[in-house]
Amino acid sequence: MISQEQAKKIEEIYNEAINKLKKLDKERKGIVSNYIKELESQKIDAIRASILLDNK
Amino acid sequence: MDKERDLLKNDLENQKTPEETKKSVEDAEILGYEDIAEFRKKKLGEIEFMADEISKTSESKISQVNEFGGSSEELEHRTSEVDEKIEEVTENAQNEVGEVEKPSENIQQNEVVKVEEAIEGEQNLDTSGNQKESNLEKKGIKDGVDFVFEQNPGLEKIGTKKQYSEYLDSIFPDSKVKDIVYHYSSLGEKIKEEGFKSAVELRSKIAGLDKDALYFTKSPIVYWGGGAVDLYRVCTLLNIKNPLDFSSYTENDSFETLSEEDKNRAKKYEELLNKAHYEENGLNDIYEKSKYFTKLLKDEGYDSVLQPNLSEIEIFDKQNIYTLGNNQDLENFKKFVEKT
Repeated sequence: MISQEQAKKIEEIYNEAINKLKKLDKERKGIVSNYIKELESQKIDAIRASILLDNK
Repeated sequence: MDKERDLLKNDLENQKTPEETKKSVEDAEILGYEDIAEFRKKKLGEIEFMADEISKTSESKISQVNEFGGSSEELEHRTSEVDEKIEEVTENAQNEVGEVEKPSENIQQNEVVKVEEAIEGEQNLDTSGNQKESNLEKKGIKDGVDFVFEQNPGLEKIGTKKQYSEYLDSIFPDSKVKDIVYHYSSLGEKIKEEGFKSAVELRSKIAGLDKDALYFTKSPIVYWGGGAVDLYRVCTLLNIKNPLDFSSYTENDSFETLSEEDKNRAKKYEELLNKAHYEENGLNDIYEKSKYFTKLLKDEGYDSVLQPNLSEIEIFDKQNIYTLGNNQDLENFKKFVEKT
């Protein structure tokens, strides 16, 4: 059996954790997107370089 | 496992508003039973599920990484710091929630002992803590009647405690539990006048109720919450004809020490509990599972479950509850006195 205060406290901890996780989710997704963008631009650079090489 | 995930995902998508949470807690209060361990488990389960989900990189992103010549190892390396933070959030939440529950856990371990002490104590002390009248003087007065009279001074104007005890014996003459038992709730005064509501009526979805039942105890004190819980004590009589009866079990009993009959009873309970709550049965919601568990118990002919030493009495039908000290009770007692 619990009092309303205990349930309320657990709810507060839960809400705080979920909010932190939401922020970390955004942060993690940003890291993955940036890595993909980085790889994409590396690949474009490599293609450009190979085209230039072919034209020489 | 996929099913569990779907369930948790569903829970996350339907996050409760503070108002809904408050309502759930109040509903549980009315029912007189709320399992903090289950509530905690549910909330931590949701946090863990979310943490688990966000620590994963979607298949489409991994494909993109591979397509552009990247490596999973590098991806893992880059996300490792955030993943650690995610893990930390989960761990902190577990620790913090654990701290909230700590006092209750300790109390739960000693629950049966405390109820025994409390019941024993009431036999020697009155509600103010004074020594009771001698056994001779008390003869014919039911345990708990002193408190009912103290809580409801109107009774004294109608008749004596002895008469009231006789009247109580006439209410459910065939009940297997003759004692006055209690229901503790912050909404107790309202319940006393307006009557009990079942879980179905309340549509309580709070985790922790394994049955669609109303909960009572023989303990004259609120033995949970470290003495900090101040709840109204609703005094009742229950009409119990065919209980699943574990009331004679003691804290020293183990399955091996039980009689064959008791073993079979315990096995039956376990079997029905598993069937409703743990085996695949097409039910995903704890509320639906609780209703199903109650139905299985009722189908076996049971109208209630008696826990060891009557520390908890779980009754399925509110029609089998008689509340003491309300207007109806005073009226009935008056009629009883006039007749005798």
